[in-house]
Amino acid sequence: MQDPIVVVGSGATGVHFAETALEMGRRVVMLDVGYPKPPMVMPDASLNRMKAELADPVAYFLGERFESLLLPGDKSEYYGFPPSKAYVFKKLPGYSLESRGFAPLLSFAAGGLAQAWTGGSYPFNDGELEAFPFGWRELEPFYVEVAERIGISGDTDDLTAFLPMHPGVQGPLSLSEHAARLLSDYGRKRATVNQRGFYLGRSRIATLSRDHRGRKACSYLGRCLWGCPTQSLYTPSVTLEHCRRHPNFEYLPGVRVDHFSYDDANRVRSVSATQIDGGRAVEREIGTLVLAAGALPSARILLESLSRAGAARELPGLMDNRQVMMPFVNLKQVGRPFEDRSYQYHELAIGVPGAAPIDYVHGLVTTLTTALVHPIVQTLPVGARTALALFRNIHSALGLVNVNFADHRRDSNRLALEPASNGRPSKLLVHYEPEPGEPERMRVMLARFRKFLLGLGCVAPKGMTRSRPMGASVHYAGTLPMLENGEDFTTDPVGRCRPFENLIFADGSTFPALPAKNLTFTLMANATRIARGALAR
Amino acid sequence: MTIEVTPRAEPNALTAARGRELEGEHRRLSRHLVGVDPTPYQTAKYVDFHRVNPIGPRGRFDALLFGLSGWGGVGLILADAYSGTLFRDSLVRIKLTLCLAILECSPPSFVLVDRPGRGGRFVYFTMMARVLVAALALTAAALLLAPLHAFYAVTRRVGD
Repeated sequence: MQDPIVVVGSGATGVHFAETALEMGRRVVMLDVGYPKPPMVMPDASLNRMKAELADPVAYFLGERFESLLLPGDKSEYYGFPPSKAYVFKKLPGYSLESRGFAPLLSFAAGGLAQAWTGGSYPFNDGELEAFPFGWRELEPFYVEVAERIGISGDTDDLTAFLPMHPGVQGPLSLSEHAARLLSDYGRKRATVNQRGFYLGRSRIATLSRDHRGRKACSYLGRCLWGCPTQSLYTPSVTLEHCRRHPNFEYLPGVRVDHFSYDDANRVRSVSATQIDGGRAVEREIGTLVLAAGALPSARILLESLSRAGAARELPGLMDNRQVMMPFVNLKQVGRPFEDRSYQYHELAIGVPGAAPIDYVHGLVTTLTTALVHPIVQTLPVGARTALALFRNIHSALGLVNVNFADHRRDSNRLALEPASNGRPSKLLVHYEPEPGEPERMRVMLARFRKFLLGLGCVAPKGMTRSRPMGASVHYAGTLPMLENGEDFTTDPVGRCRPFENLIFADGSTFPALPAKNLTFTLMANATRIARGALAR
Repeated sequence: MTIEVTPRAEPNALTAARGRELEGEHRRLSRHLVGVDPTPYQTAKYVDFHRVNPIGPRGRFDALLFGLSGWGGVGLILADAYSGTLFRDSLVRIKLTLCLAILECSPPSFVLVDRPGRGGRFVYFTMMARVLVAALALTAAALLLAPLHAFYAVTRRVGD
């Protein structure tokens, strides 16, 4: 694989591929739309201090035009993305997409979607990697390498059976009172709960419990949802900045890659892009092209390239994790004051093994005590004043389990491209159908979750459990699966896209299966593995 | 610390009368929710919302319910109770939610929103008492308003 290595996308996979390539002495050019992160406001202040001291706190928390305000009638989520993270989901003008059965979220931010992630860093075990052309033993060194780069905290506990422990994990963060109580209650009832197939333990999260590589440990400012001001919670922009300091790295933001051109020998020659401001065409010769823009945008670039070469096709096998939000109230926490200075994202996780390792169901337990309360208060079926009075007593008792289900590749779920015509740009078409029997399987599993929570003294009202629309988890994968031996438009074990000689996919496109765990840590490890493997040849 | 009040000149400028109307409305809603008057900053933000997001009643019943809330006191209690259970997308509920959102984001009221209610060891009893009072208010509101709501729905003049 020759230089220059042109990487498209600055998300979790792009930056770790680039970092690895730079460590190997290669020359890397990164093309990126790269909407920048806004400057951090009051970086040392806790959330409540911000409320007290900002000149315009309503604009900060709700938006200049109240775009983060959730009003009655908006039944989609229990919390909206704050204005400080609006740049992550800022739309790219002219980027056209049509979906059926799927509500995709795309990011064109510098750092990508993981700029708004919750830090879950759960390694896949051997059973979950069964469909992959490698197992835990081959992937572990790259989990370790990424853990060293980003910093992960966690603990050895009952979840270790499902989350293999690896070197490079710092000790766990301090638990909030609520999370500590849940864990303690679980400890007392462990035998019974485990017999029912449920296991509770500490989350593995990319948040520092100790200072690491120039970043400070979490100081519990309570601002996780609003954007960690101290970079204790890792985001890919940290690695992007690290790459940008390297003399062999050239970062070109403000550029949208449209397609690549290749010759009769299936060698990619150049990549064509458009400047976001001004629309000027940009053409770059490439030695090796690495698509790491996320499964949907990367697929679009490939489909556009094939279409222009008269070789249009569809890409089957799109996967995403189904997610269900299950709010609950811990009856033992009712009336307690809530802690604004605590870690806000999932402190605990739930593991529910299935008949096969891939059937494992993963739950993330979040307390979100500093999330805005108005979206939750309005869900109570009483007047606003009564709802607020009740809520003030249950605020510290509230929790949310985000239940994640695995997905499998199915030919019915596919990506295609509607070519440009009559002055209209081309359009990515997304088609997704859930697996037959999914509603019943989910119903049974969610009933088990409610029973598990009840065993810990937590009530999860059935009417408040919500399935997120398909696509909401943003764990898109599977359109160019890694196979030892495969046909054209699959990838080999180091991400090279057949039949091309010098085209690599480093993102979730390459996953042949999608376990229930948050996949970002595995994406980063796999991108690192792909870089070391593909560039060594 | 001084909070700047920054009303903006927006294309959808409100008349002075409308601004005063919104100020009075906001004061009523804030007292109803947390028992205190809003600050000038908070009221400015409430008015700002209406400049950039013009909202109004969707139908005659919605307008009637909102008008009832404008009486303050018992009227607002009944309108809130009814909209919380039986008419959840109503204008009065939208405005109460907006008011709450502003209260929870800004001083000094965010402290009130965060603080657990009185009750201590008897928190469940105080919550139960709250629910009973709310049930009474809902019953009264339903007796008064449900027939009108049904009438407007039947005559297709209800906006929901």
